[in-house]
Amino acid sequence: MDGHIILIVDDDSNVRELLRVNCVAQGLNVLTAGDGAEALRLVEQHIPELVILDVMMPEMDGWEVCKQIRDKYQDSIKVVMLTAKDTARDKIIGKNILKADEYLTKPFDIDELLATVHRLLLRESA
Amino acid sequence: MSFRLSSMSYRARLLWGLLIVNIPMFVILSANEIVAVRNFAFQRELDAISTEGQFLASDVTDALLDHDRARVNEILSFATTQHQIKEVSILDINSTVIASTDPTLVGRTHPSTEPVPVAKIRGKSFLKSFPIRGRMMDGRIPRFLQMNYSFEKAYGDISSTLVWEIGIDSVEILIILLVAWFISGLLQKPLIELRDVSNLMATGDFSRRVHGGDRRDIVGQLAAAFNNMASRLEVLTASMQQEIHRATAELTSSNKFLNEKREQLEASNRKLRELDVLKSDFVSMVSHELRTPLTSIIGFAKTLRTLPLSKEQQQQYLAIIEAEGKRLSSLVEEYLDISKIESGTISLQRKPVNIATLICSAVDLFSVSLRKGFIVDLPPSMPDIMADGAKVVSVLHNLMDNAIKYSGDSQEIVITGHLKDDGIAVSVRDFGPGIAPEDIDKVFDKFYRGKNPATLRHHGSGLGLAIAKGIIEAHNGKIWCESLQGKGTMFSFFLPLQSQPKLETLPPAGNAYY
Ligand SMILES: Nc1ncnc2c1ncn2[C@@H]1O[C@H](COP(=O)(O)OP(=O)(O)OP(=O)(O)O)[C@@H](O)[C@H]1O
Ligand SMILES: [Mg+2]
Repeated sequence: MDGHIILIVDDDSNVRELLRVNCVAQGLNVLTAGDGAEALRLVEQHIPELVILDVMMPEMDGWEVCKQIRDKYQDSIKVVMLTAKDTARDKIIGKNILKADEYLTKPFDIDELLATVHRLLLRESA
Repeated sequence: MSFRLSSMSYRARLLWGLLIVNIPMFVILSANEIVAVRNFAFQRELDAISTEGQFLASDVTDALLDHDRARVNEILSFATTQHQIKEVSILDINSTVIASTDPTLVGRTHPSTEPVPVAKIRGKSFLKSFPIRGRMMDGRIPRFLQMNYSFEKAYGDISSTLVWEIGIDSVEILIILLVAWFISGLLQKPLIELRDVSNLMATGDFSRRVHGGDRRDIVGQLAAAFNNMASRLEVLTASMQQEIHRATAELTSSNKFLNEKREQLEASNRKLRELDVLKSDFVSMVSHELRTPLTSIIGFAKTLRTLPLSKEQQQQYLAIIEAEGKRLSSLVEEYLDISKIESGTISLQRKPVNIATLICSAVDLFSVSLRKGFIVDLPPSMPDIMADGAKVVSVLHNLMDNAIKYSGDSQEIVITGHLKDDGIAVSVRDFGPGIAPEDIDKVFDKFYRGKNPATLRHHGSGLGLAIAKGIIEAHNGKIWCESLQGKGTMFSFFLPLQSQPKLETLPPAGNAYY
């Protein structure tokens, strides 16, 4: 897993830190952003292979970030939505309309998240 | 005829009928009369001629016998001055004129060729001959006296009679028509009355009756039958009217009842919808606000268990777990508080408390680093009030927390206490960006968090002020907000000194939601 660049976007610094420390432990190169604008800036700078994206953020929410990534990079960047929104409606928006690769709800299981990340990255390199 | 009888009025038809019958009748009668007049006039003239002729004939005979020619001429010319005698001639047996009032005829055969023994009409004249005797005169023997009598007088009589006749007939016809007009009017009168009253009935007025119901003729019978019908209709419509009134009244009242019920239903429906929106707001807020700290707690717990971490990292993550745990418990606390406030089951543990003490305990809840911006300004002594100290502290804590969270870079927060006549007022003032005037009313609403991204960056459920309001109002106090955009915000609340007795007479706040 070494060398893959991923971006973690969440407005809650604790969740950000939680994701960061676990992904780093997997040997991934981790970038973090606390809001949508910063996230898009980092995406442009580093072109990560995968973005873990929170939905409920002030100013620009995760939907918008996902949409912009899809518009610009199509499927080349994997997107994992990570959110407290767990209604069927939200899942449909995330997976079918905005074409996120995965949709996980908080609180999530770290192992499940890491497995998902692995799966998407492997599929990418395969 | 270019018009149709059937299209004419009843009276005009009658008059036309009369005219059509009368005119030929008058024509026949007049013709008859004229013939009679003519005959009479002729007879009269004939009689006059006979008498006249006889006299003349004997006079002429006398003169002829005397052989007095001059007298003969005298008699003849005198005759022409009489009556309508136009011409008198003396003829011989061959109708040759011996002497005449018309000198051109003398010596010639009289144009009427032969002597006429009886009156004969020739054009506009009568001709009549009378026998005479006399001696030879101019070589001829006079045998007849022929008179030409004018017919004009008789004709004049007849034509004037005719004029009279026509005049009188016309007057008669006119009189007949007038009488017929008048009588038909009289006959029509009851019909017209029937029509007018029927028209009135058509507009719903059944009170009028027609005259003549006591008469025995067909019109009287009709009038009586009509009046009878009108009376029955009047009674019937009156009862129907009553029925309609009753039904209408019933309908209106049941309509009113239905309307009231509908309004009630609509109101409760609206309330239900509001509750529904609140409930789904609540659910999504709760889900987000509870899930975020839970994520950190569960995630870090597992991380601590599975990853090899440095001592500092372990400490850091444990601190996060503790903080998020506290956040979670305070969130749960808030939800419980708000639901208690809404259900009206909030219970206050009232004790005499000093507001200065409460402010100090609220300030103590903040970490030392945050605390340094607080400026507390209190009068030298404040009376105790009867209040639930812990709850008032939570109100103060929330106001201070908001002042820190939402005042941006300005770090100064002023807490002031005022002594009023009947209570105390406390305000918490910051110098942050303030609240837009249109949003001031909303800050006390459940879940309201504003739209400002700078505000939303901080954690919060939007329940703090709603709870504060519930707590202050449960104390019979008041809470309000003044804010100038760009200048800062001041939240104040007032607590009465003597609130205990009042409170017990009041129902719990928000008792609408049981
Ligand atoms: N001093 C202040 N200055 C500017 N805005 C304020 C201030 N106090 C409150 N507000 C606004 O009012 C909203 C409601 O405040 P409230 O205390 O009810 O909720 P909260 O602070 O967002 O959440 P919590 O339930 O954690 O207190 C805030 O989100 C903020 O937008
Ligand atoms: Mg608050």
